This record gives sequence, structure tokens and C-alpha cells, in this order.
Amino acid sequence: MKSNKIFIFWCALFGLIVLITVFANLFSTYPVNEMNMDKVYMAPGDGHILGTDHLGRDVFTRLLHGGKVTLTVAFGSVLLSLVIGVMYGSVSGYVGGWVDSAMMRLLEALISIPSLIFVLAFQAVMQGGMWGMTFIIGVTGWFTTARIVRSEFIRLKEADYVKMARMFGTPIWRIITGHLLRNSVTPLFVVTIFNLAGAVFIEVSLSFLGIGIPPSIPSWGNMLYNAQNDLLIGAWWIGLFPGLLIFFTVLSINFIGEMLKDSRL
Amino acid sequence: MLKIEHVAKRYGRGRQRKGVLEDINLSIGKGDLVGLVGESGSGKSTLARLIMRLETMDEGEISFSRSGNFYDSCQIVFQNATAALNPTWTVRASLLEPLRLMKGDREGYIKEMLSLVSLSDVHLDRLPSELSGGERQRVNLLRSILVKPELLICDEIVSSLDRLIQKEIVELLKRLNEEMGMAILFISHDLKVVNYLCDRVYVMKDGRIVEDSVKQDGTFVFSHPYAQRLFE
Amino acid sequence: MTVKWIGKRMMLGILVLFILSFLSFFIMHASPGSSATAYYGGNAQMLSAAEKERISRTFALDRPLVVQYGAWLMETVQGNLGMSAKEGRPVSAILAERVTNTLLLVGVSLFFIVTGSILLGMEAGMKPNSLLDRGLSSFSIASSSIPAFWLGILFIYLFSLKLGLLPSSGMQSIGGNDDFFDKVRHLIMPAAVIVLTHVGVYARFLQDSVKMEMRSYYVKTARANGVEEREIRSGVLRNALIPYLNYLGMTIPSFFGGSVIVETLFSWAGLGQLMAKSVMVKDYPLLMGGIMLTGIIVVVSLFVIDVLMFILDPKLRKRELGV
Repeated sequence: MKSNKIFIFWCALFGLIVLITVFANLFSTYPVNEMNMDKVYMAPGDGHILGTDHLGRDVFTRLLHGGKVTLTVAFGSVLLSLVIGVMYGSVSGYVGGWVDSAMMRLLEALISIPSLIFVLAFQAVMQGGMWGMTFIIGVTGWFTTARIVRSEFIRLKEADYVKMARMFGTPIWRIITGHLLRNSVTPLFVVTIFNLAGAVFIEVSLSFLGIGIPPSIPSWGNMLYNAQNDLLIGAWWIGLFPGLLIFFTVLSINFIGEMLKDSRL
Repeated sequence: MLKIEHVAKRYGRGRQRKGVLEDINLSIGKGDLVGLVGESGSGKSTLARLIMRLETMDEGEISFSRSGNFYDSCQIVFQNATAALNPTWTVRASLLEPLRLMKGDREGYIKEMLSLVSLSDVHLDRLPSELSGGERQRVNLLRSILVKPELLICDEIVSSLDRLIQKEIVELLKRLNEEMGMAILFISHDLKVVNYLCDRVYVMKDGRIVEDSVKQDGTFVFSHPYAQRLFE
Repeated sequence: MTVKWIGKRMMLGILVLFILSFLSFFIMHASPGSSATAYYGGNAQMLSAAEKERISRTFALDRPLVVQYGAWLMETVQGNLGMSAKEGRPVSAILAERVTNTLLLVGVSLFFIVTGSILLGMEAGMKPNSLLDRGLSSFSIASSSIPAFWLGILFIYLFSLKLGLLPSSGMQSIGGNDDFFDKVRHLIMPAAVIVLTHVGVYARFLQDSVKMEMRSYYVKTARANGVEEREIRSGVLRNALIPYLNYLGMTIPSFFGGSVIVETLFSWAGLGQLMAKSVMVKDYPLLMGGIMLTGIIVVVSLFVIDVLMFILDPKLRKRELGV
């Protein structure tokens, strides 16, 4: 099983990234926000394995702590999207009829709107911290989840075991959780995995633009905020390492998602 | 107990509207063993769904005299046992589902009933995918009789099983009928089984009941040519 | 029937614009200060009492929220998008300067994405087990995992800083006068970033549908009957393009979201950069205008794709026209 090994490889890589960021404190070599004006823009090497930034902060340490923030935002927002999407999709799919068609029209319109537009609009009026960002990405990221839940429900609610459950008088919430949702777990998991990759992208992109997480909190996106200028004076390491880590994180998530998707078909 | 009078059911709209059932009359008394035969597409399953109130009819009336909740007195077993069991639930969970409101030792009751369909405790923790086709249909059947219905509708429940298991299930139905006085409407296109199990039979063709007959001296006698041909 | 179909698609467009208008109104309402300050931004203090009174009447500020929304919508529909808080110019004038730049960037990128992905996807789908066939899905996953802005930074480092081949930002060189080739040189990197991060995904989508078509009965019969390979190719492509266009229609909005990031990185003076900037400096009327205009562009591009689908898909045409 060649593909099985590849799958384990990507899971392991993602797991490793999550682990080192969760236990950032154990691995970091300096305090996160310790500035050292005598040691600004130090190239990777002695004492700072990945160099220092424009304030003399250790890039490696900030990379670990930044990952914690970025991944927390990503996981948190995806969880929120999952909850909203499941609720919306459940109602639409289970109730059916005109309620369903009205809800689907609305959803179709929402999907047609670039999600970054929603994020910008929310960001404009409530620029908050890490949790604000999590909230914003979460409430604007549930559309695909809702669509998948809805189509699964429509398929499953005609199943004989659901008909039987209705005849046995099983309460609706139990039919939804036990029968319908329980049997939609795989596609839901796949879409959530891809949402996770999307959430990482949105956080790093917005923070890079300077309209994401406040600069005082280290995140992978924030670390890249100055990278463009740093690059111009030759400090390539400040931009390279966070970017690589984002790339490998998203890459492993995407590969895991793709392989799960294929194994289902 | 069950009385069906002049029932009709049509699908589609406008000019494409097609009758699936026309002028159906049928009755089942307490403890009856009634067969319903006909080729596939003759409307048998539609009739079953109408009786179970899973669909509404366009004309006629179905009355069912009972005490208490309809679905506690009238139950159905579907043809496809794989589709009738939630693939993510263990046998135990599936069997507990109809007993949600039961007081007392539900687990014990299930264990007691398991032997009735020749299954044992070890099957309780298995998933449907870990059971054989015959075992699955027995679980499916058991789940429907846990509430001790007065009428059980069996929609082609042995058609996809091999002969040996078919026989086992048919014997079980016979026993349920004798011991619990459960009336059974046995829907099938397998005339041999119907002949063996039922005391009375209705023959369906193209959405109509063309004949009904009562077993005399171990056989059915028909006058309608279609029914005669069918039972040849 | 066609009328019904067009009506349904128009409903979608109207709904999109309605949602965006709610969103805009929400921004205005949630922003600090009244609608008037939102409309006149920093200049609110300089307004005379009479002017304030007039604004209050126009926007029904003393009435319930629904009425306020209606009043604002009336103004918006008539093209009165208010004044930019920071630049002190009408929002509509600023948007007019910007919109062509975004259309240029997204249009050029889309052109290369579509042609590139059709070439790659066809080639990969028609030649099973070739290098392209086996490599395309990995390339697609990898290329869509790179943050566009980071790829842009790498490009700037390589092509501008190290090799000095291309300008790192802006739309024209300093002192340059609307030179066409100068603009093209500025366009290359931002467009390349968008193309490279997207082309793989679309190519792979087409590859999958081409493969599905190749397995179908009509291709096998055509082959057996000695139909020319060229004709088979065009038939396969035609059929595979239908789901491809559908997918493009579903994902086209994300280009206008993505352009926010690329435009900002390369200082490309488009709508995206404008919106990002107005979020940063809290120029609400400008942001609201940008959102509404982006919405209109999205709706129009969805409509164009619908028309293309309608032309290409005989089944859809048949069902809707009853031919």
C-alpha cells in the first residue's frame, strides 16, 4: 500500500507541526517578545538558528508561537463554521419544501460573494484580537459545509432506517444526530479539512496585509507583515521560514483531504 | 382489524398522471396470515406504504382498529435489510430504538427476544456490516416485532435470501403468528412461500386486486385467468 | 422556459446585490458616528447646521432602521455613494479610476488560467499515464497550497531584487507616461502569481472530466469506427467544458477576493487594494462603494458564464427552449 504510507507521512507532518506549535514553550530558545536592539537582522546561525527580525527577536521562537496563534484561529473558526453549517444544512435538508428552496437560494447567493469581502466588512467595524479574527473567519466560512450537510440529508432521509425511525417515534433531534449526521461524518470531515486550509490562508493573508490579527500578537501572517521590506535590505530569512511553514502546513492538510476524498469514492 | 376500501393512488401531474393503485379492497382480521402476491410493479409496495401511512392516498379509506399508538400496533419489515439498518449503529443500538419509551429492563428484554430469531448476545455489539445477510434480516425483523405489534407487514423480506434462511424466517413468522397471535400481511412474488405460509391470498395485477382466495385443503383455488396462470 | 431560467439567474444576481447592500448598510450603521459622518467622514465637523439637517432628512436618520436602509438604498441606486472620508472626493469618482485596473488584472489572469488549464487538462486527460497525467494532481495540490502573497514576495526577491528584470510594484515606472509596454511589465508579476496559484486546480478539474469522457461509450464507438482523433478531441473537449465552466462559475468570486491580496502586495491600484486600504484607514464610504461595485462585477461575470454554458450545453438548451 504505497498510498497508505504517503497518507501517514502527511498526517505525521501535520501532527508534528501542530505538536511543536502547541508546545512552543518547550522548544523556543528565547522569550517570544524579547527584543535585542544590538542583534537586529542577524542571519541564521550562532545563537539564533533562524536569525532575528528588525527588532532583534528570535525568528525561530516567534515561528513556534506564531503557529500556535495561526492554528488556534484556524481550528477555532473551522469549528464555528462546522456548527453553523451543520445547523443551516440540517434545517434546509430535513425540512425540505419551500423552506429548503428559499434557504438554498440564499446560500447560493452567499457562495457567490467573495468570502474575503465579508471578512473585510466585519474587520472594518470590529477589528478585534485573535478571537475576533476566529469569529469572523468562522461566520463567513460555513457555506460549503451547509451545502454538503443539506445534500447528505436529502439523500439519507429517504433511507429505510430513517423511515423506520420515524415510525418508531424516535424524536427528530435523535434522527438528525444519530441517523443523518452520523452517516454524513466522512464528507463533513473532508470539507472541514479543506476549510482548515482555507482558514489558515485567510488569517495569514489578512495579517500580512495588516488588517488581521493585531501586530502585537505573533502569528505567521504577522511575521510576514514586514517581510517585504526586510527582503529589500536582504534579510530573506524573515520571509522565507514562516512562508515555508505555512506552505507545508497547508500542503499536508490539502493532501490529507484529497486522499480522504479519494478513498471514499 | 385492518380494512381497506376503494383505495386509489396516482402519481404525476396533468396528462402524465398515472394510477398506481385503483379500487383496492382488502381486510385483515386479528391473527390472520394473509398473502399479497403479484409481479414487481403491480403496486404491492405502494399499498404497504399507504397502510403504514408513509404516503397519502388519493381516494378511499383505510381503517385500523387498535388500542394506543398506531405504530405500536402496526409495523413493517422492509425488503432490504442492509438499507433498513443504520450502518453506523450496533445491533444493540438499533434494537433499542423502538423501545425508547419502554420501562424496565430493556436490555434483558432484547436478550430474551434474541433467541426468538436464533441470534445471541454476541451479535449485539456488531455492526450491520459484520453480519451475514440472513442475520441482518433477522435483526431487522426482530426490531419490528419488539413492540409486539398486532399486525406485521412483511414487504418481500425473504426474496433476496437463500432458500435455507428463507425457510428459517418463514418458520419464525409462523411461530410469531401462533404464539403471539400476530397478524401478518406477507407481500411476495414467491408463490411457493405464500402457498406454504398464508391462509388467505390476494392477487394483484397492474394496480388492481384481481382475485382473493382462501386456502382449502392446503391449496388455493382461483377463477381469474391471471391468478390461475400465476399459481400454476 | 427560457424566461423562467433567465428569471432564476437574475434572481440570484439581485439577491447577491441585496445581501451586499445589507452588508454595506451594516458597516455604515456599526461604524462610529452617524450615517452623515460615514458619508462625509472627516469633514462632518465642518458641515453647517443646515447641511446636517439636509443630510438627516435625506437619510431619514430620525426614522426606524428599515426606513433608513431604504433611504440609503435609494441614494446608492442613484449613484450617490457619498464622499471618501480620507480623500474628500466622491466615492464614485475614485471607484471609476480603479475598476479598470482590477478588470485588467483579473481579466488577463483569467485568460491565462483558462487557456493554460484547458491545454494542460486536455493533454493530461487524453494521454493516460503520461508524465503530465501523473504529475498534474500533485502540482495542483502543491500550487494551491502556496499563499499567493508569499509567492509574490519570492518573485519580487528573485525577479526584481536579484535579477532586476521586472518592477517590484506599482502600475508604471516613476515619470513614465502611460506607456503600454511599461504597464505590461508591471502586470507580469501580479498576474503570474494569480495564474500560478490557480491554473493547476482548474487543469486538474478538466483532466478529470476529460478522463470521464474518454471512458464513455461514444468515444469508444467513435474510435472503433475510425473517426479521426482530431474530431474525437474536439467532441471530448466540448463535453468536458460544461462541468468545467460550471466549476469556473462557482469559483469566479474568489478571484475578486484574491485580487485584494495580490493588488496590495504589488501596489496595483485596483478595487482590491482600495478596499484593503479603506479597512485600514477606516474609510467606510469607500469600502461600501468597493463592496457594491465588486458585487456588480461578480454578478455580471456569473451571467457571462451562464450564457456560455447555455451555448455549450445542448441538454440545458433543449430543456429550457424545448427544442
